[in-house]
Amino acid sequence: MPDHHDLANLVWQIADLLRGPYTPPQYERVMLPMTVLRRFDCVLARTKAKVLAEHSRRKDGKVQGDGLDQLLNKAAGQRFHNRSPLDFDKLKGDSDNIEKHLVSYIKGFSANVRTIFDYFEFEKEIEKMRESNLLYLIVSKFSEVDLDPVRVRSEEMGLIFENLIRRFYEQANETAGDHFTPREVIRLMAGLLFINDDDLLSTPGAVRKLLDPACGTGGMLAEAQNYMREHHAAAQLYTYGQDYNKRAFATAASEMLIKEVAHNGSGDNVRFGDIFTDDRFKDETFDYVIANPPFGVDWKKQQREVVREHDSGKGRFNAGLPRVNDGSLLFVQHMISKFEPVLPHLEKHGSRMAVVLSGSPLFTGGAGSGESEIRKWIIESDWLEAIIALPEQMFYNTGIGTYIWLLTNRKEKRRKGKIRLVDARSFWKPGGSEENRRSLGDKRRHISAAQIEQILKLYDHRQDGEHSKTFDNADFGYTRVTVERPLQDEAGVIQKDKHGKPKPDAKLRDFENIPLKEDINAYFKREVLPHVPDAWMDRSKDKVGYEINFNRHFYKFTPPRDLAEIDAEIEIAEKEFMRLFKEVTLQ
Amino acid sequence: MNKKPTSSKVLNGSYSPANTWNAAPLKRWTTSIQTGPFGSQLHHEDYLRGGHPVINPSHLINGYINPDDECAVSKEKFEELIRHELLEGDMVFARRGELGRCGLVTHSQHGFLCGTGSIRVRPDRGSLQPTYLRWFMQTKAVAEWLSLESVGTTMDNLGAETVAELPIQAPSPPRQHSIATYLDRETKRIDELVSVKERLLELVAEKRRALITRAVTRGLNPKAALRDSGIPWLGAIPEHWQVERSKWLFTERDERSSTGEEEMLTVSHLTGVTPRAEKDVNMFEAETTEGYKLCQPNDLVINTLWAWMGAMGTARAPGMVSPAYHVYTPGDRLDSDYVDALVRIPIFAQEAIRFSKGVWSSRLRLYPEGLYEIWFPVPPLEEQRAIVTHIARETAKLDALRASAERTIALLKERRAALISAAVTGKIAIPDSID
Repeated sequence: MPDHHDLANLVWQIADLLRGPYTPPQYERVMLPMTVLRRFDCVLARTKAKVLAEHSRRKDGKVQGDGLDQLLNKAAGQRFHNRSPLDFDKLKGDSDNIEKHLVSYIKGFSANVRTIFDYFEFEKEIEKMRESNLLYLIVSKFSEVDLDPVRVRSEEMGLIFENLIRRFYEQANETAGDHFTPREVIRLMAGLLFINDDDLLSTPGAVRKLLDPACGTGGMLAEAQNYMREHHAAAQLYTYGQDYNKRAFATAASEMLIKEVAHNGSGDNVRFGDIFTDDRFKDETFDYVIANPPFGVDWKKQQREVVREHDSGKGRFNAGLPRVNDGSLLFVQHMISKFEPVLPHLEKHGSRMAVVLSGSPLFTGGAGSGESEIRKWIIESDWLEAIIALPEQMFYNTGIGTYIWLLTNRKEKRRKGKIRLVDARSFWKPGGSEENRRSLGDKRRHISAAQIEQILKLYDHRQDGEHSKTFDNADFGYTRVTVERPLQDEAGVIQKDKHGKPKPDAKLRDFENIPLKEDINAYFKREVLPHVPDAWMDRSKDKVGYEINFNRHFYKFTPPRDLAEIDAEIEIAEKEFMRLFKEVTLQ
Repeated sequence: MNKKPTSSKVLNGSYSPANTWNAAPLKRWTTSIQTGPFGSQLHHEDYLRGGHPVINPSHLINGYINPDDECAVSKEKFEELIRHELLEGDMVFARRGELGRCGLVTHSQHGFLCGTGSIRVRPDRGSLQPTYLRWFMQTKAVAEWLSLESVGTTMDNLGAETVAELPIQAPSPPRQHSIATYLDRETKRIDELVSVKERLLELVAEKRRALITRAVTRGLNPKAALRDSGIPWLGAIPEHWQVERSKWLFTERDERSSTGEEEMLTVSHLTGVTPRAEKDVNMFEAETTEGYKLCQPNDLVINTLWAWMGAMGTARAPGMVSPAYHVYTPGDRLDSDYVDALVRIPIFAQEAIRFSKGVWSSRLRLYPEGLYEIWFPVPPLEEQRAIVTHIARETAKLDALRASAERTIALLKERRAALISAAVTGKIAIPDSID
C-alpha cells in the first residue's frame, strides 16, 4: 500500500504534464484544486447514490439554500456534498464533453466547496487546460490516483496535501513568502506557544482554539495540529484562519475540509477577508493566536476604516497607529484583541500569542509615535513575554532579520514584569531546508531540529548567557525630556516672560532620553547641568517611549592581541623567511 | 568573428634546444576539447551541498582545481550530464574572466563535472603530459596569444574552437615529465616564501591596529595607573583621563552647499575621509550635488549606512559629502587627529553597531541620536597630541615594513613567472630523472 510520500510523488509527477502552457511556479493553480477535487470525489463515492436520491426528492421542495445543503451533507455523511450525477469515472468516459462536464460537476458541490473553487479561479484554469489540450489528460491521470478514505485516512490525506503545498510553494520562490512560512519557523513558534501549557493541555477532553489571522495556505494551522498530535494527543486543538489572498484562502479552506476537522458545522473555520477592515472573527476569543503577517504591509487603502476604528476608542487599534507603510503593529493589536480574559472560575485561562515580525516594529518610532505607544501599551500591560531573534535569510522572498514575539495575558509568576530576549541569529545551517540544501529564493538558511530544541531551552531556562537575557519591562522604556535654555538678546540679556521666568530659546531646544529606571532629576543634575548650567527641563512635555534593539544587548568586543605577542610572531615569520630564502638561493 | 589564420609557429624558439621540440595546435595533442553544459541544462537551482562538484572559472587557481562543496549537483543531474564528466588528467580551462586560467584534474577529483563557464581539454597522454600542459598554460606567451585571439570576439569569452588552435610546443613525454617535476618543486619553494611574507603582511596590519587601539585607549605610559572606565568597549583607562558622552563633545553641522562646487569627499573604513577623486573605484555620481552637506577641516564625518563597518573619520580639507552622511564638529576638548584615530579602530565600530538600527545586519544606520549615546575617552589635550605624534611615527615604520614585504612578494612572483617561462621554452637546462 502506498504511503503519503508515494501518493504525493504521484501527484507531483502529473504536474510535469503541465510544462509548456504552465511554468513550474504556476503548477499549483491546477494541481492543488485537482487534488482537492479528486479527494472529494473519492470521499463522496460511497454515498453518491444516496445524495442523488435525496436531491431528486427535495430539489423542488420548500427547503433550499443552506438548509438544503445541510440535508444533502447529512446524506453524504460529510460537511460537503455533490449533487451532480457526474463523477471522475463519468468525466473520463466522455472526452468530448470534458470541459462542460467538469464545470457542471464543480457547480454540483455544496456552497462551501463551490466557494473554494471560485477562489481558486479554477474555471479559468479549466479553460486554459482545454485550450492546451491538457484537460482530458489531467483528469484521466487524476482518476487513477486512489484517494479512497478507506485506504487513505484523513490524517494521511492531510500530510499529502501539506507536502504538495510545501513543494509547489517552495518551487514558486518569489511569491511564497507572502503566504507561506518555512516549516521549521512554524515548529519553533508552536513549541514556544505551547511549552508552558502542559497542565492545560493534558486535561483529557480539553478543547483549545487557535487562530491565525494571516493564515496564507494554512501552514501554521496544520503544523500546530501536528505539534499537538505529537505532544498532547489527548487535547483537541480547533484551528481557525483568515486571509485576504483568494488562492491562499482556498488552499487553507480546502485543507480543513480534506482533513475532516470536525469541530464546527459547515467547516467555515477558514474565512476570507482583510483583517484591517473586515474581522471575520469579530468578538471571538482564542486560547492561542499565531501569525506570520506580511512584512512591511502598506495599509493606505484601508486607512479610512482603520483610523475610524482607532478614533472610536472601542475598537482594536486604540493604543496607536503605526506609519502607513508598515501595518505589522496593526496585526499585533488585532491578535491581542482575540485574547480570552483570565477568569479561572469560568474556565477561562487567558491566551498565548506568537507572531513573526521584521526588526522595524521593535524600534521604529520615537516616544509619542504610534509605534512606540503600541509597544508601551503591550509592555506596560505586561503581555510581552519574550522575543526571539532569528537568523537572516530564513524566508523565501526576503533576506531580512526576523523576530518572534511571544505575548500572553497569563505570564507565569517568574516572568511577571520581565521580558526574555533570545539571540538565535547565529543558529542556522546552510541550505533552504533540512531535506534540500539548495537555496529557495532568498531562503539560504534553515534551522535544524536540534537547533530548535536549543532555542526552546534558551527561552525556557532562567539563567542569562551569551544568547539569552532576562530584562525588566522598564529596561526598554525611557522618558523623553525637553531641555530648554534661555533666550538672550543681542546684548546677552536673558529675556523673561510676564511672570519673570526665562523664555526658552527654540533654536537651543534639546532632548534627553532618560531610562525609566533612572531618577530624572538626578540624571539631569549629573548628565546635563555640568555642561549647560543655565538649562532647565520642561516636564510638561515629557513622553514615555519604548524600544528594543538586540544589538544593544547582544554584542561582542574583540580586543586586539597584546603587542608583544604580535611582535614575537613577526620575528618568527622573518626568521622562517630567511631560512627558506637560503634554501632557494643556495641551490 | 574575424579570426586571423594561425600557424604552428613556435612561440619562443631562439634557443637551440627548443628547436628540436614538437610544435602544433593544442587539438593535435588532445583526444577531445569540449565546452561545458549549456546554461539551460544547469541552473544555480540545481546546486546542492555534498554532491558532485561543478567546476567553474572561480574554482581554477594557479593550475589547481579548488572545488566548492556547495557548488555541486545530485547524482541524477550528474548522470544526465555525464558527457561533461571530468577524469584524472583532464584540464579545465576558464571560458571567461582571466584568460588562460586553468586547472588540472587530480585522482581524487575524478568524477567532478565541467561547468557552463569552463572548457574540458583531454590531453593525449602518449604525446602531451597534463602536468606539463598545466605549466605551459601559465606562461605570459599563452596569455598574450589568447588575448590576441580574443580580438573580434566577445572580449571576455573563449570558445573551444579557439582553445583548439592554441600553439603548443613540447619535448618528448619523458622530458615533459622532468620539466613538470622540476617546476613543481621550484614553484613550491617560491610559494612558501610568498606565503610567509603574506603572513608577515597580516601581522603588520594587526600590529598597526593593535598599536593604535592601545595608544588611544591606554595612552603612551605603560606604567600609568589605570581605572575602570565603566564603559564596556573601553575597559581600563589611565586614572586621570575623563570619559564623556559624545553628545557633549561634538556638535552636528548641517550646512548645505548652495553651488555643489566644493570638493567631493567620501568616507571609507580603510582610508577614512578622502577626496572622491582619489578613489579608483567607480562610484555612482549624483546628478546634482547642490544641497550636499558641507564639512570643514577637523570635522568628524560618518557614513551613516556604513558606520557599522567603521566608515568614519576626520576631514583634512574643506569639502562636501552625501546628504546621507552626518558631519560633526568637535569641541575644544578633543584633538581632531586623535578623534580620527579613535573612531577608526575596530572596537569603536563594534560599539557603533550597538547604537545602530536597521532590519538588515548589513544595512544598519548610525544616526546622531545613536552616536550621541557613545562614550569617548577624553585624555588631556597635550596627551592627545602626543598620542597622535606617537601613532604617526610608529605607523610610518610599519608602513615601510609593509612596503618592503610587498616588494619582496612582487619580486618572488616575477621570479616564479620567469622560471616557468624559461623551463617550458627549453631556455634552462633541467637534468633528467628528477623525482
